[in-house]
Amino acid sequence: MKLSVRNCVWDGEEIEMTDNNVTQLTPAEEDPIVDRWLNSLPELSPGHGFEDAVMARVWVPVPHWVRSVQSTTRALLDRKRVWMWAGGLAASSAASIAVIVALMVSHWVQVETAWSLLSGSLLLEAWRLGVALIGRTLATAIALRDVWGLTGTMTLFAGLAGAVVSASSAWGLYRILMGFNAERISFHASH
Amino acid sequence: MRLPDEISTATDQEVVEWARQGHERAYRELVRRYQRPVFSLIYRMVHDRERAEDLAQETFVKVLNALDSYRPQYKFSSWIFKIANNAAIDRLRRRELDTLSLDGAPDAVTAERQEGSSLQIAHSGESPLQELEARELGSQIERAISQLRPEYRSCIMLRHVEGCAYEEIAEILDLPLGTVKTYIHRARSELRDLLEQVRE
Repeated sequence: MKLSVRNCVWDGEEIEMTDNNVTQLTPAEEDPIVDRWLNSLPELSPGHGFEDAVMARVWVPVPHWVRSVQSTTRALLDRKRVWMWAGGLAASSAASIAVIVALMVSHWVQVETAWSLLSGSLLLEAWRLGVALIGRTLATAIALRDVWGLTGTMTLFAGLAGAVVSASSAWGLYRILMGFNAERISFHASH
Repeated sequence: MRLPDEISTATDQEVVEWARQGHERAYRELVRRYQRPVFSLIYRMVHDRERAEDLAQETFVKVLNALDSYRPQYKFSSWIFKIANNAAIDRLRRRELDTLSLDGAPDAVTAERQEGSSLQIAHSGESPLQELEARELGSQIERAISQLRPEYRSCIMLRHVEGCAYEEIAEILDLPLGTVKTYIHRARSELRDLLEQVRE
């Protein structure tokens, strides 16, 4: 737009409008009524949904970390060798599992006997371990009471805490063994 | 730079930086901060609500899609006002809307179009008579402003509604500082003349 800057007539004197003398224009600037008029102008709001309408047309760049993950993944997926390795690994795993299952099915009696022996010995070992742990814990508790000079109440609380821990451990062990057993039964029933 | 939960108190430069990192919330914050000033400036230039909304949208889309080209040493507000003002001036050149009615756009031929394009002043909690008087005064001021030359209008809006400094207005409008001061002075003088009957 072409601008035409004219000189200004102020108090009968023509003033050339420059950066230096515009400060002489204070009378109009200080007109309180004009100020009031202009200050009364409200800021206007666009219609409802303006923000969403703008955002629908704005391209938000993908964050750096997402970009780096995407490029790494893309680089990995692009490599044929990776696919070959992954395929080979999957195929060999599948073949191994198939051979093991076939062997188990064809030699079921031996497998079942071995399983019983293994689970039986496991239970025995677990019992021994539990007894040893409880005995050791009690011995340690008595030793600590003597060393620290625990009062009767404190000993009682410590004993209760120990009992809770022992009961929890026993319950956990029981659940593990029951799960183990149930798995064995269902495995057996399917054949 | 990590995006905090509350970003409304952050500076424009910080919000722009978060937006550049790809945080949509930062983009929305910029829209929320500037939708009213940008829309007000454009509306008072084109005096048509629908067109002002379109131009304000275009302004934001242009600005937000070009955030990478924003240089943080400059004020974000100056940048967005410059683009908004250019959009409004371009529209005025194309449509020759220099003389507009506050009752709506000149091409508003139906009542709905007139309502859609006319100025809506918010309720201020005054009595009906006061509100009517305020509305009438507001309409007269808006009408007087619409009679100013577009460059005067830009200057006076940026100065008095957006509170920009003279130097900032000069930067936004690509004008010498002296010219900006002259325009504002002349715009005020013209407004004073146009609203003489209101003063009395």
